[in-house]
Amino acid sequence: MRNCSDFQILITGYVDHELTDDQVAELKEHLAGCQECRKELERARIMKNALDMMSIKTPEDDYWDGYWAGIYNRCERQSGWLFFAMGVTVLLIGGIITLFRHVLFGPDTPIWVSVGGTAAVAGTVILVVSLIRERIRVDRHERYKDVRR
Amino acid sequence: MKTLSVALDSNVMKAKQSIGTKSDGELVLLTLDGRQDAFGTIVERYRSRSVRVAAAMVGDIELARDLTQDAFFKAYRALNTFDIQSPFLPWFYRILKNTCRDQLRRKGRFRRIMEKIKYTVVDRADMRDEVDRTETAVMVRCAVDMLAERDREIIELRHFSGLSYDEISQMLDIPKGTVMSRLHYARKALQEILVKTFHVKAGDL
Repeated sequence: MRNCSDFQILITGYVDHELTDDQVAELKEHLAGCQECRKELERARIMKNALDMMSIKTPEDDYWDGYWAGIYNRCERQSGWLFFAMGVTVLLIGGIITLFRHVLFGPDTPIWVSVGGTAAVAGTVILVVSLIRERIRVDRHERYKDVRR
Repeated sequence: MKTLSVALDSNVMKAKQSIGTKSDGELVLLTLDGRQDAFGTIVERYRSRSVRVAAAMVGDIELARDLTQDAFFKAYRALNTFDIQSPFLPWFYRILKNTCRDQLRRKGRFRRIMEKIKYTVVDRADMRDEVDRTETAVMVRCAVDMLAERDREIIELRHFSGLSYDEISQMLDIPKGTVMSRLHYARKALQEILVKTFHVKAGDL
């Protein structure tokens, strides 16, 4: 046996035209004898109309032109980025090794260049690691990260 | 030669037709097997709904296009982690929702609301004049934004994206009756916000 609370949920479906014929018949029978639910129906209709005013406009047909190509391009670009990242990593590692072996610690390198260069490289590494660590820490402990802005 | 070409065309048509009738799970399996057209069918099946959902969240139909493309791409990349026994749409909806949320984090609250209003107010000759309509829209939009996440989600899906109960039920993987009751409580909560915060009665809308 349904009570008014149950029927008020059905009223939501009724104003949205989502009830079955049986549900509509049952609701109408109840509405005929319940003033409170009739008021609820009126309120539900007004609220639905106010909310429906906010509906998204349907995009034009040309909106879908090149839609699939956009997704396909992202796949293609990902491979591009992957190769690019691999290339940069190889060049970077090779460059650092070359820098140390042939420039900083080469046979004719003055000692001050070796010391200064090593310090500069070490400083850069420390700075980068520190920045990355801070970024990770901030992301983990961000108090308001779940607050919807 | 012409006969061969006709036969080929007919086979292609048949393949396209048969792929269009396959379930999401079967299409995922075909995609994992290297059939890109199978994923294309999934995209075609859900792109319209996804764009409306994204547009309701970010308030910009053009941005929604980009974000849904991103989401489909992310889904494509993560397809091997998808549980073939479970429905595709709720899984994809989570990816889409997170993609939109990431976008929203980059924007300020006010700008986001104003953009949503700009793109969602529908022209209706039978309604009050433009100013009244915009004022009501601003108020309702702000009130919706003040709802709890769970309530806001169902309101956005139903009213802003214009999805049916069946579509919402598939997307959230919940029964149709639950969609109805969640909508009922969400609208109640919204009504309460409008009364308490904006001092508006239902009849004033």
